[in-house]
Amino acid sequence: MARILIVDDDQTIGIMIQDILEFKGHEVVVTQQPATAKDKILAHDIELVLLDKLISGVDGTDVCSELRKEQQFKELPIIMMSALHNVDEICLAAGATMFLPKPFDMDTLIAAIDEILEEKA
Amino acid sequence: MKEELQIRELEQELEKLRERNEELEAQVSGYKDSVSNLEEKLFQYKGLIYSSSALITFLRGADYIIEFANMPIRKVWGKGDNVVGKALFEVIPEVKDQGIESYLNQVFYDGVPYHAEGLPIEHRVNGSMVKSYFDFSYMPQYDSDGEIVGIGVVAQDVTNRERLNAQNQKREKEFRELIDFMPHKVSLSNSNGDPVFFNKSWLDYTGLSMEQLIEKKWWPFIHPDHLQKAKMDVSESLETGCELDMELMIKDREGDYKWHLWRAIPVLDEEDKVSSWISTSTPIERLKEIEQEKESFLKLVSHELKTPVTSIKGYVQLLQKMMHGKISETKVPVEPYLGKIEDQIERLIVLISEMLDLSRLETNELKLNREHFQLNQQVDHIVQELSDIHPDVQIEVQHEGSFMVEADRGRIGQVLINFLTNAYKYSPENKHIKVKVHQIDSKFAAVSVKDTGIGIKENDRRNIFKRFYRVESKNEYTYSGFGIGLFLSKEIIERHQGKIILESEFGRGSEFTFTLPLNN
Repeated sequence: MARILIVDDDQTIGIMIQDILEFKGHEVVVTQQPATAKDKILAHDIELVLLDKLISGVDGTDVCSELRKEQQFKELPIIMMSALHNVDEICLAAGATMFLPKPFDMDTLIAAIDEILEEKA
Repeated sequence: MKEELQIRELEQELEKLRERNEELEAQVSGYKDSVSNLEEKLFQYKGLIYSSSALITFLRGADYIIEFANMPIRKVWGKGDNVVGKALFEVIPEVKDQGIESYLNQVFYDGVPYHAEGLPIEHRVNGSMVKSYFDFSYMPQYDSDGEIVGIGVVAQDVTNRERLNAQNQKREKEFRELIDFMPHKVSLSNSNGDPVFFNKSWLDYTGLSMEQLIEKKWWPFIHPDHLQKAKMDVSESLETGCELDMELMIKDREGDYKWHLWRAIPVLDEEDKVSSWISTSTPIERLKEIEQEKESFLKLVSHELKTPVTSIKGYVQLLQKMMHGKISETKVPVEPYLGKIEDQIERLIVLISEMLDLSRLETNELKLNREHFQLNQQVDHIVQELSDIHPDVQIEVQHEGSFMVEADRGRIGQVLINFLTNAYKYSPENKHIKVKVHQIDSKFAAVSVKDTGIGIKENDRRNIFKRFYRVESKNEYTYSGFGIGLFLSKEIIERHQGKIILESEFGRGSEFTFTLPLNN
């Protein structure tokens, strides 16, 4: 099981993802402020990030590419998600490991996380 | 001897006289023939004149004495047969001051023929005054010395024609005023498509005169973004004679572009050739605004609905996972109920997605993520998914080959799901669906979905691909939905350069087929 950070300003979805992941046995940290993402990753020794494309007016791709600039986050799995269509390529170009279109169902999310963690292991 | 000589001379003289006599007799008989010929000719001409429908009379001398008048002219005068030998103005005094006398004088004294068309004359018929219209010819008549002796009159009663003309003129004026009064911009062009008329609304809108507009034509007023399509549509319309119907922006006198609906129809002659074009442009600016407001609202609503629904779905799935295999202590059927909740949420998500797709389609935001994939696999995948959701439906899949396409896999799946759920929805009794993956020709692969359901009535067949169209039914549950599915499917397939083909028999079932360009 892994320590996962959710960066999403939508409480409804964020909390739901948190509940699902905790049910699956993961440790989950949620933040609605993208600026705190880096601190949270370091403080909780985060192994995987779920990052929304648009968080309180901040573009998630900027957050992603900022993280990727640092050597310590080069290998960190980052799953970007969005309800917007046709942004998958932009997200992948910004360094996201994977893109998930919203809304996704529980099984898709769990399968995606399992796949990435398995690859990493 | 001398006497004998004299007798011989006399006999010779007599012989000469006899010969001369014979010559003269022959001449006289010739003249007689000519005279009788002439009489016959005269008789024929008289017959011609009397039987002619033209009004003919001959007026002799400066008093215009009627020398003869045929039946038609006597009828118009309405004075019976006893007119010969009387002066014209004694017979019809009422016309004297209507210019007739001066025309006659002009011909009689100056020798200049007079012609008139559609001349109105008021004359007395059976005691009351009547206004009629005539075409006239007054011709001077000469004697053998070249002196004018009278006037030949040939006239035609053209009252009916003139009344018709007047009616047409009145009607044309009314139509022109009607067209000028309309808020629509109306123009008329010739068979080449060159404009010949613009109504007042056009002149007011552009601030130009009719002549300026005719010279400039429409093109300088059409928004550059719409110009190419407009020109293409017009030339297609000119070639094929089909109606033109497009929305575009037209520049007003201030230089602002405003939305219009531009329509044009050809006017065909008796030989079905285009003789002219009528085009109208209706302002639809307000309509467009409302449409845009509707689109943004639709987008907002569907977006906002999606979040809570996604969350509900997530928790239902979470609960299902938690409850799986556990029998509730309270014997409450939690698991089957959760399954039912999930089914309904799934329906809600489909509806919301359709709404969102529609708003994307109309704001041109629906983009295709094309990839190279095997159509057969995608069909099998979708059929499996649907069979899982609806265990009561039997779907039989037949592959007539293996086909690669370059398309948006998700969108094609969406179209197939739409076809399948329709087949399911509209087959209340026999839920047996046949799916066939096949090839139409060397260029197109096709997927057909055939049901044995209620079928589609002919008048519905044309409409079911229009958005928001729903087949009317007493059974509301059977036919639930927004009426967007087939409209979306059609748009998606057409954006892939494919086609949707529908075959249906009311009461027997339907077959929907979509085609996609092959990419082997």
